[in-house]
This record gives sequence, C-alpha cells and structure tokens, in this order.
Amino acid sequence: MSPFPSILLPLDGSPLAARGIGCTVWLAERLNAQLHILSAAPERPAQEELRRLQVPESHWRHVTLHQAPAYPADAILAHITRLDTALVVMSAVGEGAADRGDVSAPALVGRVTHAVIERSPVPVLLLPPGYRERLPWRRSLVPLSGEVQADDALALAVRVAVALDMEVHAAHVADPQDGHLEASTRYADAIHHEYPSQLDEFVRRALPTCAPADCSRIVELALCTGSTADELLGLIGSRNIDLIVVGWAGRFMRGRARILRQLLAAITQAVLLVKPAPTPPFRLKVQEELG
Amino acid sequence: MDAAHDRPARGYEAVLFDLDGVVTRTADVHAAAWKALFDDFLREHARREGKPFQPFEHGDYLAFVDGKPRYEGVRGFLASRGIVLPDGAPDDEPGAWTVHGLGLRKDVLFLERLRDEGVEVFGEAVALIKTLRAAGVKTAVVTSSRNGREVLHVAGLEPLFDVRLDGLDAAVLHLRGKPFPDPFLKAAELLGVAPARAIVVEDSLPGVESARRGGFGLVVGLDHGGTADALADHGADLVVGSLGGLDVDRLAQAVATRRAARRAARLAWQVEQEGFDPAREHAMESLFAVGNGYLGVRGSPDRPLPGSQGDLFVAGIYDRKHLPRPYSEQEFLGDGRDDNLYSELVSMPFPFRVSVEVDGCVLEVGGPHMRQYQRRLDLRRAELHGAVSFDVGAGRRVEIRTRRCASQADLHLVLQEVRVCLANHSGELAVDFSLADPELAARHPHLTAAGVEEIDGVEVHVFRTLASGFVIALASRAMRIGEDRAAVRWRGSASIGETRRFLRCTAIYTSRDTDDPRKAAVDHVRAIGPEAIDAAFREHAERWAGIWDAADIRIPGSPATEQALRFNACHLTSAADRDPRISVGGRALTGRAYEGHIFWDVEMFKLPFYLYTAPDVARCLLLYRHHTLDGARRRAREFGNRGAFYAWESTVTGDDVTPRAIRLKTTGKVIPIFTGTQQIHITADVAHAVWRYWEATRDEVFLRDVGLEILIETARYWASRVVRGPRGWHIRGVVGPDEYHHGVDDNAYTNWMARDNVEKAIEALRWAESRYARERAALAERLRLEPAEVEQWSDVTAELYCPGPDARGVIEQFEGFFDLPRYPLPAEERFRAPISRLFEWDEINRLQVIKQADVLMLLHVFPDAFPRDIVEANYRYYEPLTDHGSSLSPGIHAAIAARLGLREDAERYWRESLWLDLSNSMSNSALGIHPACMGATWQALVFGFLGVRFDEEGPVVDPDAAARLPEDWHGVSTTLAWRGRRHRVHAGREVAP
Repeated sequence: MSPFPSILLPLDGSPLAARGIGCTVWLAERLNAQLHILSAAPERPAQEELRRLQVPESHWRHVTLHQAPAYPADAILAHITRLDTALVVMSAVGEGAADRGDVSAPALVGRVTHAVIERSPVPVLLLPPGYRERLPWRRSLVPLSGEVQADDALALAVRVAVALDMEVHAAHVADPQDGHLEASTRYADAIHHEYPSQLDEFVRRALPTCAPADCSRIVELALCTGSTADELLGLIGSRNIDLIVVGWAGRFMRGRARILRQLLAAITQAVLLVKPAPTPPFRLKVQEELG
Repeated sequence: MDAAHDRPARGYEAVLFDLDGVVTRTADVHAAAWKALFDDFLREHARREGKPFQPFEHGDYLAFVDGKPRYEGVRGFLASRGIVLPDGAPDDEPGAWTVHGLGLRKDVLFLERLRDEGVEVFGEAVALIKTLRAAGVKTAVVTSSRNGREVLHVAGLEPLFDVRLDGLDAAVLHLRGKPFPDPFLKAAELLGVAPARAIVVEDSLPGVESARRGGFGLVVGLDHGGTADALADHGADLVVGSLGGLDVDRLAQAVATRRAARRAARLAWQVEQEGFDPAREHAMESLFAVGNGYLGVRGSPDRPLPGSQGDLFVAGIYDRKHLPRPYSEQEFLGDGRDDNLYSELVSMPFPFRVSVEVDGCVLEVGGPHMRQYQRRLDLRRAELHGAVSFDVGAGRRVEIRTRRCASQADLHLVLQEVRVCLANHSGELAVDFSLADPELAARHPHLTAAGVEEIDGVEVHVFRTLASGFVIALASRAMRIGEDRAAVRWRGSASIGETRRFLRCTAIYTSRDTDDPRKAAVDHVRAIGPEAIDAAFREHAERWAGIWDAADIRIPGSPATEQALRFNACHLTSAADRDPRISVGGRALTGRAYEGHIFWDVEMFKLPFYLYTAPDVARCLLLYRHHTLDGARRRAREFGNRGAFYAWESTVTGDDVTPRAIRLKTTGKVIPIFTGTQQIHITADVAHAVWRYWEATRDEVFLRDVGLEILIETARYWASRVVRGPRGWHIRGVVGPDEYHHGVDDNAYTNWMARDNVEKAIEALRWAESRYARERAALAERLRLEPAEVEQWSDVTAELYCPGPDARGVIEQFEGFFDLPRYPLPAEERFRAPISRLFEWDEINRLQVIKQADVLMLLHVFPDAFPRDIVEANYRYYEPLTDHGSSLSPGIHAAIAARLGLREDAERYWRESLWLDLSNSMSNSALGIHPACMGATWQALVFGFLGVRFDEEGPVVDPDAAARLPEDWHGVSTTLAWRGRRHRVHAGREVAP
C-alpha cells in the first residue's frame, strides 16, 4: 500500500515554493498518488494560476488545482482534511521571505510553513532554505532518539523506502551535552549479548507491522557520540543521504527542535516530518492495579 | 430511600442464619443429649467387650458431631472409637444399636430436655434479624437439626424468617448436609436470591465451610471462644465474638471488602493486558510466553503481526551463530563461538498460527477492524487466553476467544483452542490453521525447510538447522467441534450468535529425541481427537495444580506481590525440563537474548528455587553439568590446568561459547570480553550447587554416581589453578561476579568458593569411602586420583588466601580494590547503568564502581560465616558503589538488607527485583524474561525476609522474620522441600492458617 495516496503541494507563486514541484510530481508518479496543488491567492483561471505558480505545463495533466483565497496556513490545513491528504510538501520559506527581500539569507522557516508543520495532522515534507533537488531518492536517514515519535518516523521511512526502492540508514547519537545518555545506551548487562539484541529491538519495536523483507531496507544503525546535529550532518554527507525522516512532536520551539533548526540551516535535502500516532490505550494489570 | 433504591449500595439481599449457637443456645442441650446417648452406649459397649469405659468428651462433640447431620455424627464418632454398627433404618427403635437407632434416641433425649428446660435465645441475634428485616433484607434459618422446627416453635422465632430449612426438610429434598453447600444453596433459591448476594452467619466449622463452598457473598463466623482461627481457616470472611456489633451497614461494608479482596485474589492468579500497543508488543510476547522446559513459545497473537517475534524454542536445539543484522553494530572477533556449531539457540516458527476471515475480511490484531484486545496469562494453569473483538464493517461484530498452553503432562504437545462467534450477524467464516511462515528464512535464519505435507488433515513441517544438522518436525492437527475429521483449513457459514469451536494440538519432536522426528510427531497427533485435546488441557491443569502445591507463596495482604511471585514461579517452572542434557538459558525459552547460553546463574540464582520446590528438576540441572563434564575437562586442558573448568557460557557440549572480543562497526572500537577466560568462579558455583543439592536431598545415588565426580574434577581444577604467593595459595587474574573488573587477584568471592569446593570434595570422598568404598575406588581409578593428590587439596584448603574483614569489618573485593579511586555514582545511573560503562571497560576497571553484588554475594552464599556487624559493614561499604548493571544484583541486595533488618533498603531492592519484568524496568524484557532475577527474588524472600536456615529436621524460619516483612504483608506462607518431605514455613503477624 502506498504510504501517500494523496499529496498536497501548496504554492504561492514564489520561486522558493516552486522548488518543490519537481520532487512532488516525481513522488506522485512513483507512488501513483493524487497530486493536489493549492493556491491561497484570489481565484484566477486555472491555467493562468498554474503559470503564476510556476507549474510547468508538462505537469498539468497530473495535477488538480484548488484555489481558496484565505490565510494560507488555514487554507492548507483545511484542505489537508478536505482532500484526505496523506502528505503535504512545504517549502520552509516562500512568498513572505521573498517579499521581505531576504532570499539570500532567508529565515529558516516562514510563518505559514511554521504554522502548518506545527498543526498538520499528516506528515510534512519540508524543503529547507538551501534545498537542492536530488532525484531519485536512494537513501534516507532516520535519527532515532528512543522515543515513540522516532519509532513512527522509522516505520514510515521503511514504508517509503519499500515504495521507492530506497535504503534506510538509522542513526542514534548520544550527546554528552544533553546531560543524559539516550535510551538505547542504557542497561546492557553484557555487551556481546544484550547490546546487539537491544539495538535490534531498538529498530524492530518501531516496525511491528513490517515484514522482515521490508525491515531489510534498513541497512545501518549508526551509533555516534557527540553533538547530535554535527554527527547527523556528518552522516548525511558520508552516506550521501537524499531524504531525512524525523519524528516530530509538532512544536517547533521545543526540545529537539534546536537540532532540527541546525539541520535545516545546513542541509540541501528534504526533511520528512512525521508526527507520532496517538498512543493506543493499554493497561497491564499488575502492582497498584491489585493493591 | 426505598429498598429497591438501596439495593445496589448494600450489596446483599438476604442473610441466612444457622440456628443452634447462632440464634438459639441449643448447643448445650444438644451436647448434653449426645453425651447422655453416647455415655450410655459406651458404658454398655465396654461392658460387653470387657474393656474399660471411656466417656464421650466435649472434644468428641466438637470434632465429630457439632454442626453435622445426626447420622453422620453417630457414624463419625463411632468410627473414631473403632466401632462399627449397622446403619439400620429410619423406623428402628430409638436406642437400638444401629446408626439410626442411636440417632433417634438422641432426638428423644434432646426433645425431652428441650421441653423440660425451654430454649435460650440470643437477644443480639434476634435484634439483628429484626433490623435486617426492617431494612428489607430477607432472612432464612438453615439448620442440620431435625428438630429445627420444634426449636423455633418453642422459642417463638418462626415469624422472623422468610425461609426455614431444617434436617427434616433436607432429608425430604435429598440435600447433602453441611459441609456440603446444599442446604444454604436451597435456602437461597427459596428466597429467590443469588448466593453471591447473600450472607451466611454460622458458628460451626462444617457450616462455615458449607457457606464458603456455596460461593456466598459473605460468610460470618461466630466465635464462642477459641475457634476464631479455625473459622477463618474454614472460610469465614469475618469472625465476630457476638452479633451485637453487626448491623445493616457493617455487613454491607464487610460484603464490599470481601468482594474487593476476592477480586484481588482472582487477579493475583493472572496477568492481564488490556488494549494493544504495537510498541510494547515484543515485551508482551516475553511476558506471555508459555513453556514446559522442553519447549517455549513467545506470546504473540494467534495471528502474528508481520513484526511479531513469535518464536518457538526447543531446549537443546542450537546452531552456529547466524550473521548479525546489518544494523547490529557489532562483529565478533577472535576464536570464540563463531566456529561453534551450537552457539545460538534456534528460533523456530510460531506453532499457534491461525488466521480467521469473516466474509472475506481478514481479522488482524492491531489491524483496522480490531476494536478490543485482551491477553491474559492464567497463572494457575499456565494458559494464555486471548479475547479480541472485531468490527468487520457496518457494525458487524466478531468475537474471537483463544487459549493455549505448552503441556506439562506431555512435553511434546502444545494445545490450542479457538472460538469464533459472529456476535450479531451471520456470515461466511474461514479458519486457516496452517503453520507455514511466509518469511521463514528472514525470521528463522538457522532453519531450512526440509518438507511440508498434509496427511489426513495433519499438516507436517520438517526443518533442518543449517550447521548443526538437527531435524525438527511439527505436526499440527486441528478439528472443529462437531466434525469428526481434522483439517488445515475450515470454511463454512456461521449463524448469528453461534460460536464455532476449534481445537488443535501440535506435536514437536527433534532429532535429539528420536531418529525419525517426523514420524514421531505425526504418530503423536494422529490419534488425538477433540476429547483427547480437552483431556490434555485438563491433565496439563492438574500438573500445574501439583506444581502450585509445592511452589505457591501466600502473602495475605498483598495480592500484587502474590501475583508477581506467581508470575515468576510460573516462568521458572516453564523454563526447566527434566532432560539431563540441557539446562536453563539466560532468558530461558522466552527470547533470543543470551542465545540460550547457560551461565553460573543456573546454579547460584535459579537452582535454589527448584531445589526447594521441585528437587528432581534441580537434580537434572546438575546432571547437565555432569553431562558436559568432558567439555569442562577439555577447557581445563586448554588453559593448562587439570580437572574440569566449566565454561562461562555453554550450550550442549560444555565447550565455551563466549566470544573473545567484539568490534563496534561505527567507531571501530574493539572491546575485549574477559568473562570467558577469567570468570572462573563458575566452576566452584557448580560444585557448591552439587553440595547444596546433597544437603537438601541426601540423594546418595546422585552423590555417588554424579556429584562426587564433579566435586573431584572441580577440586582438581582449583588445585592446579592456585599459585604460591606471600599469603599462601593465591588465585590470580580473574573476574569476580562484578564484571567491571578484570584481571584481578584474589577475588574474595572466587577464593572462598574455591576453598569450599575443595573442602566439599574431600568431605565427599570421605563419605564415599565410608558408604560406597567399592564405587569410590572404581571412580578414583578411572579418574586416576591418587591419595597424594587429595593430600595436596588439604594443603590448598588450609592455605588458600581467602580475604577476611579488615579493621572496619570490610572484606576487600580483590587485592588493591581499596586503593582504587572512588567513582561518584550518580543516582540516575543506579539500576540503569549506561552502556558506556562497558565501552570504557579499561577506565572503569580502575575505579571503585561495581556492577553487582560481589562481596555481598559471598555473604549471601555463606550466611553463617560472618557475624551481623561484618555483614552490615560490607553492605554499607559496597552498596553505594554498585550500579546494578545486572538483573542479578537487586535480589541479592534485598536478601542482605532484609537479613540486616534494613527494611527500607530491603523493600526497595525487593520491589526492583520482583517487578523487573512486569514493569520492564530494565527496558529489555522484549528480549526475554529474566529467570535468574526471578530466582534471586525468591531467594531474597526465603533466605532474606524469612531468614530460613535448614537443620536436620527441615527449614527453620528466623524468629525475627515477622518484624522484617513489609508493612502491608500480613504474613508469608509456603512450603519447602527438604530430604524427601515438604515442610510448611510461615512467618507473619497473624496466626498461621
């Protein structure tokens, strides 16, 4: 089953936003997905609007155009629900940055994108300011923190990898500056027994619905110690990564967002932000349940 | 408030009273009548037999007559005096020498006295009855007395009861008397009230037992003095000295308390999961594994998820280590287990796989149609139950109930029941019992498929391990109830509300069991019909009932603790077979971690549980060490020593399978593994267990034929391993239980254990000389054991340096430990040691931070070797240095702290150990449960909290044990096996039940 049967690409006519067209069309073709283009500007004739949005004519037959004059973030979020969209492709910065004349040194994430990635119920493919198209995607990198949202990111990365014939590189960085060691680095009774198994479980617990053949898309779990952003950047370069898949709680200013901001400032690859699924209800009736 | 409105809050609708002793005081009249009857009879009987007259005593009345139907009373008492009379008939003359005659005579005597003296009535009882009736509660009187109506009439109490049932009624209705529940159940039926919503008030033991058996909502025992404990023992939930303190609300409160206690007691026999979280699934698969020692199966859903690890493990089936996954991040270097054919326990396909479809909709746990999920391990029967609800569209509900077990009665069988109900619609049902795993190679990389076939509805899978060449066969036979045939796939229509029931048995054999495992498996299941599977479930449950008789631990006041202890005992029991060729691996048969390797924890942590609950299992675990003695001999020779040097990690041959080093791929860092070459104390641990088994069983055949050889060969090893030094004999270059320090000299634990090993070998030789001189001589000749060698052992025991307490009372863990720099151990690193501790092995080697109990382990193993102040000094010294980077550590700390009376520490460590898997506190239960930790927990309770020691008679509980128990425990009761008998042990604040 395709990970993204339907893709929404909001465009505002700026060159920055238009950078995502090629990647999105490629994705839609490879995944046999419906491709929706959304413009929040005042309504115009369709072809005129597509030209304004800088959608090449060769792609017109693949797209469905939606025009909804409204505050862009609201329009985008409304269309995610209305169109049952599975993925939104957003440029980190768009028309607003261009209007401010700071294209050469753009803000990392514009207001509209900021609002969308915080509130979107579906994954967001984020194109950083320095984005350069690299198609086809061959390798993705998934940073694993040991947290649930990272697990969901790995699960989606594997599904994408299966659909697009990619390799998945997972990475776990223990950052001494964080003041604590990370989940995977705890409690190994015997390094040659528990450690490999624990790492195995670190990966496999994220993939309860993935068959072993699909899991074999994961070709590496890199363990690093140091600054998380630096270590990840090193891996992105050395592994020739095309896509970074990140678990994302939805708040840009908190927690690991610092690392994401560092990455966005430095990378040229797209970042797929994956929100965790709600934790299912679960009780194991022991201890205090019995009194 | 009207009665109907009041009902739910009150929790009961009726109260049933016994008559004699509860409402009326006729017991004295009865007792007097019985005494007059039996004294007359006994006097005459003695005269006729020419024997001295022994009168009827009050004790006879309580033991044989009180509360029982009249004729049973006569029969029971006469039997106690060795007198047998014919039963006679109801129309016998009162006073005739028949059971009926005497019973009728007693009636005559009773009624004479009743009419002469009247009936005394308990005013408090009458007041309570009136209060209850005023509150809308129904009342009944239930008595075994055939004179019940007469008594009620004489006392004028008839209007107080809605139902009156006496011995005459019982006879007419053919009701069995107390302690059978029939009379009370009949009275409840006549009242129109369910037993669970009724209370019984009784003063006799059979009466209380009768009510308990009837499942009444509350049983009130009325104690007239000295019978409180017996009443409680027979089932009274509430024991009172008079009914004066009871009223409607107090009874309601007691009913509620009892209901909560019963719920907790029920829950204490199960572990239940509600809801489904894929992220926890692997950990749940470990907790809910079932096994019987021969095999173990992880607790995956009956239709596993693609990512499930529904492994089947068969003890003893190992294969060469398969290549690690690309992301395993480690490579093994050197000449370790890479070349060993038996270095990894083989995972095999899930034997409970079943797929259900309704109207073409596949019902998957965790899938889009699932609505509710419950998984429950019934600890009493070691059965795993599943209950899953699905919505297959448009509100059409499907309920699937399953249960499974690994038979304890037939170790080659796993049993499964599947019930499918289309709850609110009719439809097409398809059930597929095929065990075929579509991704065999990826999930089970040690196996190659060697054949799949269907024979008369039996599906047979044969596999072969790639390197070791074991053949494994699974034959699965599934049947639908109502059809007289087996089928792998079943398809048909199901009507609304109808439950389709299926039963399956799967037999598993390997080439370790027979030359033709395929034939054995097929033959085993071929003849088994549905009734036989049901019977096999029952036999399995009966075996477990016996296991619990020996292994259950009761802790009144703490059902949660009982539950966790039962969970542990269930897994420990499920881990061990009685096959002398195998032992229990690091995670038993519940997970792949530790690869099924066998460590010292078998002898030092798990074996005591088996030894004192199932000694025959302990014996087999030691037979494994005998079976692998040649491997240990090879290993001793490899290291230039004599005798037997047990491998730190072993499987089926006894050869060491510990790697020498690993390399981390990411950093290229090489980490040496010292345990394989230096953790030599395992050799003494095995010998220690041999002696412990001998002490606990006095199994002479074992010591003569098995234990002695192990003791000789291990002593021989130590004698060749010691070196001469400034303090006599020394043992250099070892790793103690604390694996953070390698290459150390004179590790206290190792040296003490080694000395004990050699001493016990000498003692065993002396014993054999006196008892089995011929066999001893033959063994000595076979082992080429000369007297001079034994002389040398004596020298070793005399001069082996065993570190003792210093001026502070602290024993140095190894030479130079006191000189190492202290390591400030952060609180967050305790119980959750960072992996970097293992990466930075060389740095940690030079610091005072220790992984687990080491010197404290010594104090635990030799509890009587050191006085309390020394034990405390060492606990105070070492406890703060320990990060508990092993699941073995908290239990030993709990044991020592409990012995010292350090309640807070003892409870903290105990809880850490007790709930280690159930709380997944190490975050690694997904890799399998921790059986050695479970063993340590058991030891902490028995030897720590209870302070049990053994003398010639059996176990002796420390007199101060009760004071050491956690606050919420009322007591601890269990049984321990010692020299052929099971001995009850108890400590508590209440009187022993």
